[in-house]
This record gives sequence, C-alpha cells and structure tokens, in this order.
Amino acid sequence: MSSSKITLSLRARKWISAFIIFHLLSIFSSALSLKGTLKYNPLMAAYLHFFGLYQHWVMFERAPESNNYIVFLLQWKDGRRELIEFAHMDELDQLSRLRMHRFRKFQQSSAFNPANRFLWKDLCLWFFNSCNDSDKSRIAEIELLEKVIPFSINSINTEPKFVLVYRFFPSAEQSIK
Amino acid sequence: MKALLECWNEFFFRPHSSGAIALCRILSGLVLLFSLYLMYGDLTTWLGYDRDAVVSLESSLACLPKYPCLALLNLNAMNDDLLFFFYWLAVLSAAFMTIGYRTKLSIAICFILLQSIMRRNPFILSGSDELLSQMLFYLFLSNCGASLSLDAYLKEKARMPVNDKSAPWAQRLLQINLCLIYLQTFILKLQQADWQNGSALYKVFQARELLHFPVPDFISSSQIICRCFTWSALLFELLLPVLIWYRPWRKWLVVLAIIFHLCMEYCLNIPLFQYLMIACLLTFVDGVYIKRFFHRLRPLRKVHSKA
Repeated sequence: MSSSKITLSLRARKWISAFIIFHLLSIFSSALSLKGTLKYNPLMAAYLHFFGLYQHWVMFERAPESNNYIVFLLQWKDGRRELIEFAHMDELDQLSRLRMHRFRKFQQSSAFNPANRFLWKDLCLWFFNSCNDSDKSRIAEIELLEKVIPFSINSINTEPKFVLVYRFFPSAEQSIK
Repeated sequence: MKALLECWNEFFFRPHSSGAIALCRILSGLVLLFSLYLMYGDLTTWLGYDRDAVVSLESSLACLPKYPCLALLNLNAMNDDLLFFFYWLAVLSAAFMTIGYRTKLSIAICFILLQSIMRRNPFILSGSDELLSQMLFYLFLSNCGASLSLDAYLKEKARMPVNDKSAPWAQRLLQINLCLIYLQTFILKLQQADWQNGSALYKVFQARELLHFPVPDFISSSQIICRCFTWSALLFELLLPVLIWYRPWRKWLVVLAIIFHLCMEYCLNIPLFQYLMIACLLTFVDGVYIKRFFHRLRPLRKVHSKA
C-alpha cells in the first residue's frame, strides 16, 4: 500500500467517480456484447461512438478460411482480355509488407464483404482512373473479381477460384451487378 | 460500504507513480510516429478525395455512425489540402507527445486527428488504429506528462522526474480496458468451432497474406502443436486479466505477456498492434523498477559528460 495521502478534493473525487462508473458501464456493456444495455441507453452509445471507444477487432475470433485477392479483368475494345493482379504480401520485402498492410486489410476483410458492396464501384473507378489517358478510351469493360485460394486442412496447394463481383462500363458510366 | 469506498479511493485516487504511464506515452507516441510514416506513401490513395482515392466520400459517409463523431476530414472534400495539413500536424503532435512537450495538448490533437482519419476510411483500419485511439483517450485523461517529459524537465528546472506521484484513475481505466480486451477476445473465441477444436492457429499459419516472418514447418504443419498453442492462447487470455491484479505474480505475468506479444509480432503482419499491447502492459510495471532503471543510467550519463 502506498504511503502517500490522497490529495484530490472530495468534490473532485465524486465527479471523477461518477465518470469512472459511467465509463466502465459503457465499455463493459459494449465489449461483452450486452447489446440490450446499449440499445436502451443511447447516451452510452453516443459517448462510445463520439470518442471512438467501440472495439471492432476481435483478434482472430474467426480464423481465416482462405486467402482472398482483388483482381481486375480488363476487356479492351479490340476484344483482348487482360487479368491484372496486385503483388501478394508474401512476395514483398519486410518494409513493403508493413507499408502495404492497409491494402492487405482492405483486400482480405473489407473489399468483398457484401455489406460494403458500395465499395465495388469505387474500386473499379479507382482502377480506371489509374490507367493511362490513352488506354482509358480503349477499355470496354472492367470486371472486378475475387480470387479465392481456400485453405485445405491437409494442404495449402488448392486451386484458386475466381468469383465475378462487379461489372463496370466506363464509357456508359453505368454498371450492373 | 465504508470499506468499499476506502478500496475505491485507494485504487483510483491514492497517488501513484506516473513513471509507468509515462513509459506507455513514450512507446505509443513512437508507434504513432511510425504508423504515420507507413501511411505517408498511400495517404491520398486511402484518405484523399482526388481522383486517385479508392474510397469515395459517399462510401465513407455511408459508414458513419448515426451519432455525432469527429469526422473533421470530411469538412473539406474538395481537395486534399486539409488532409496534408492534418497529416503534418499529426506528425508534429505525435513528436511532442513522445518527448512530453505540451503533453495534454499534443495528445488531444493526436486523438482528434486520428479519429478523423478513422472516420474517413474505416475499411483499412486494423486493431492497432482502434487501440491507439483508445490509448490516446486514456493518456489525455492521465498525468502521463508528469514524468519522463520535457514539460516536467522544464517545470523542475532541469531535473528529470521519473516517478512523480499523482492520482492514477486514468491509468487504472487503461489497465481495466486492457483486461477487458483479453476477456472479450476469450469470450468471443470460445464460441467459435475453430478455437474449440484447436484448429484456429493452424489456419492462421496457413494465411500466407498474414504472416510476417516464416513460422518453422514443424510448428505450422503440426496439428498437435498448433492445437496446444491455440488452447494455450485461450487459457492465457482468460487468466492474464484476472491474475495480473495479484501483486506477487504481476511482474512475471507482464514478462510472459510481453513474450507472448513478441511471438505474435514475429508470426503475424499486423503492424504495431503488439507494441501497443506491450505499451499498455507497461502501465502495470511498478514505479520502483522504473526509478531503479533510470538510476542505473545515471553513472552512464556522468561518464558520458566527463568524456
């Protein structure tokens, strides 16, 4: 036990204690998924959102089932087709892996989540904008594909699957699922 | 009731060494600086509004919570001027926070800017971003600038205090939050089949995109070893947040937890997260050890100044 005396005034301790209780109730009800508490207490929810105290990450609560990659299939107006894929993390040096970790996060967790379907058009548009101006007029269609390499419990050498996610037509500025 | 109140006062308000929370501030400041450095190359790609940005403003707004939040980057969606201003302000504030100059103000600025960045593009966030944001919140409330800081050095007229004592309530909140992270992780994992049957880490080791350094084959390809590791990790996440409050075991548990996180750092490419967890764990280190460590450095300083 410390020998120092408590220096904070009683009044200050009361206010801080009230804050501590409110804060602890908020983070415990959020973290331990006591959804009812948050649902019926908008003040706690607003507090957690405003100060960014919600915790979304779960440290591999669900173990990954596959390696997923963003792939673009370019359809040129002259009929040629070109598959464009980004470098995989295991092909990069250590510093590049660190620099690219946000891309890895985006690719593995966010890009193909159906809840984020509004990102698919953004992704195609970003890819289109990154092409040379001379190429842009020759692109007929961009297909966004998800390349999935599932893990096998006995071997990791499984065949990749390509899943069509989104079609983007630059000339018409319209797209269909 | 009186005994309970006494315990409460003892735990949250009895003055306690601020050396540990100051170490946490320094390490988290360094992590923030490195995180900003890693972000620089892709700043406009992930956070900008120009043509080379991946995520449009509409998509970003679609993910904002219905509650008020600090999304200051969205104030100027016409160009990236505000983004660059925020970026360099964040670098300056993170540097000030690390050395402890205008500590409260620099932590507050870092917190607001980090929140704004997180709201601009939530699709690229990892655990380290959210944990850092939470840590900044607690560091702001704490007295982390009272020790090992330029502020303290200037206040004490050229003498660096390493163990200034103050009410540790914010440090306690950070410690409780850390324990909650382990407990929440344990509860969530326990509900998943992969963690129950012990195959979770085996799958993680197969995720080549996630791996940092190569895991030896005899570990990654052995289901028995992976099972042992999976269940050990679960047990660790259950026991640590409970046993760390038992004083005689604390220092050994902190050492064990640091080794655990360094192993994770070796295996997994989740930059900076493990260092932030270690920074949080440092708040459990007794001020006496920190004082002893810096006293040992004194003779070195004298030798250096004589030379």
